[in-house]
Amino acid sequence: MTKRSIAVALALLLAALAFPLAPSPVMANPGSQPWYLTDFTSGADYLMDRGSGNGGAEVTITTTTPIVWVASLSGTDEASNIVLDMSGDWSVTLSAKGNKANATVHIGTLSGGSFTSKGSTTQALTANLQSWGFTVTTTDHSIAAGDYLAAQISATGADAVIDVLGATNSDSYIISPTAAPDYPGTVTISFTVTDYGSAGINFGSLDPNTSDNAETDQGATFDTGSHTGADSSTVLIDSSATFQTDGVAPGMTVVNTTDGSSGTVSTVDSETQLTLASALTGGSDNTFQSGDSYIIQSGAVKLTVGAETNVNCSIQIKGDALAITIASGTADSGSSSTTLVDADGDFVTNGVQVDDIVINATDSSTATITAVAATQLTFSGGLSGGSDNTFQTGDAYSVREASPAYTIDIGNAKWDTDSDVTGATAMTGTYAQITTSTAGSLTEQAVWHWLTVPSGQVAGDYTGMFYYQAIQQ
Amino acid sequence: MKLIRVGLPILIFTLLLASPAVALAQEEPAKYNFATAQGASNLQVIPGTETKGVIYFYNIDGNRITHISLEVVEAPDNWEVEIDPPLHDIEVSFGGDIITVTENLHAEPTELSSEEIEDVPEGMVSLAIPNRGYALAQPAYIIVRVPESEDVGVTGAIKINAVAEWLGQTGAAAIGQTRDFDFSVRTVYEITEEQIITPGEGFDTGKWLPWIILGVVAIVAIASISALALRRREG
Repeated sequence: MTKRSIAVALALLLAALAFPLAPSPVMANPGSQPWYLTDFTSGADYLMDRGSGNGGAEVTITTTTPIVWVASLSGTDEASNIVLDMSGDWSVTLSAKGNKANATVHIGTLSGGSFTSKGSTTQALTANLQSWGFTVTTTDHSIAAGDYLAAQISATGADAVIDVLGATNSDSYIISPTAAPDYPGTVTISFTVTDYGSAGINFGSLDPNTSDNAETDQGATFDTGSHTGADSSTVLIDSSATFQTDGVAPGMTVVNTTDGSSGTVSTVDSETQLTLASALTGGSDNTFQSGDSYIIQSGAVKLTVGAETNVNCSIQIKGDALAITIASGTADSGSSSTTLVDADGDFVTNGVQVDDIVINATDSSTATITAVAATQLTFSGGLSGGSDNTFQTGDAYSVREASPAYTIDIGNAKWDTDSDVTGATAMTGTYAQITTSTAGSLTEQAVWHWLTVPSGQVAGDYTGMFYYQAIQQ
Repeated sequence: MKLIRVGLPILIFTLLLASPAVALAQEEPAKYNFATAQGASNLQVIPGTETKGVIYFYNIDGNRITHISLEVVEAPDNWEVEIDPPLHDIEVSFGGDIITVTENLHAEPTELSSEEIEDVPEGMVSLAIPNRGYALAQPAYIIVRVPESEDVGVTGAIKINAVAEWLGQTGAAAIGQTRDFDFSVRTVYEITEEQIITPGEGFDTGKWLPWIILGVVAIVAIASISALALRRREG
């Protein structure tokens, strides 16, 4: 080969390197997420779509007006579900042009319509459209729940034109750091109701409401014994007790049954010693004396939002009416949407009557009884309000008296966050807020309950359901 | 069958039959835990196809089995929303009795693990619990099917209500928990091609590799032809 042919070959090779014709795709880093800049707008800002997408026109950025792109999905703003730390190295591909223009890409957050940069890189552009790849490193890039991931591009020197079509060059996009969490984040909520009585909300036995407005709290007796220490108004000592093993906890009520005083547990000091939040009150001497008998009542349920809960929560309560169950059992073969058959039933003897309410506890449907036989109930209107509205063999049922005298309205139940009924709130069938919790922190809240029995109420076992919930605010 | 009705009003109203104090003192307090993790709530679907959301349920702070029933309480009229696993009956042995419980799934108390759990039972997942570690979790899938006739660009709101209940409560009021899960599903065009490019510094050699090879081949061919022609002329 001659010198001339070698020179020609080198020239052609350089030409091939200098004037590439078309791209071929390769994949992004696994674990990261891309956002594609578009020319679609949301208010004053443009959208950058998560996952895929591009725009329909070029976007021109003047030297006086930067443009913000806000995180979106399929053309809709997408706020962060939780607090996310998106700090790290962002990969940016920018297809742009601008003779003597510099484009500065900021990545940050958008909150309340205001963009805050958490890192930026400036790229010098050329007159011809070209794809530029570079990194933007963000620090302290925490995005609060409800705020947005956002990018801002500003131009200096001359206007910059951003290609968001991806037709002849690459799309313009940003890719999150590999170690960054998935946007918009997984909402985790853990909520625990601790019931010291291990038996549901326990009101004990109540007198009917008369002029004294009889009330009682959830006073299940939890532990008993007698005081063996020195006289004290705040410290209970029982050398035979196993308070920690038994699960005695702050918030429980200690009653000195000898003098009638009571107080609230502040700390469980040891298996044999408790300290009260304040001195005993309401008794004859308000003192634990050697030999005094005591009982510890659960008093409250404890509501706990776990530390892994990564959103601010509203802790709420509601309740169903309490009613007497006349009969209960399981449905036998032959039952349907309008009949209940229970071979073990004895509906007539047990006093089930027309207009009583039958409840399918398995599918949560109910119906009004229209006919009663020894082992069969008929409800011609059919079951409703449940998942299948049919009694299937094995479904659990209960029958309740329809008369108000057999039902205690939920408004007769109250709740409060201290053990004093004064100021307690009447419950309703819709959720009411008890308190709130902060994302990432353990939150504990004791709740006391009271129940008043209306006058004229028929005696019996009344049962219902109290619901608690922790939901994202 | 249980008979509770009394014929005449009496002065004492028994709201429940409380367990003996001694027995209560020896029991560990009941802890009813309802813990969930909801991933992406914004979903996309091509009309005529389906998309899937997921909610994870776990129970690391409770000491009772959490029975969970799920219900679709809000969805566009002509969309189909299915919950997997569906509502079904299970028989539970409780205190010597066999009880039928209707649920979609239940979460048994499990231990928290500091490391990702490798021995995961079928149908469960090892879920990362923020600030705490890993736990076995039970997934429930929300499958959304959108008719082919649905317009592109439509956003459908779907709300799933979860009710958590626990067996063995004998008080006047049993304790339950509820929680709603919202999904936003948007109809989109079918994506026929996707192009994600590794960023380079202005020029990416790998991106243009096919054309470089083509150029080299052309150069070699031209050089060879030129050399051959020159040799013939000189010869």
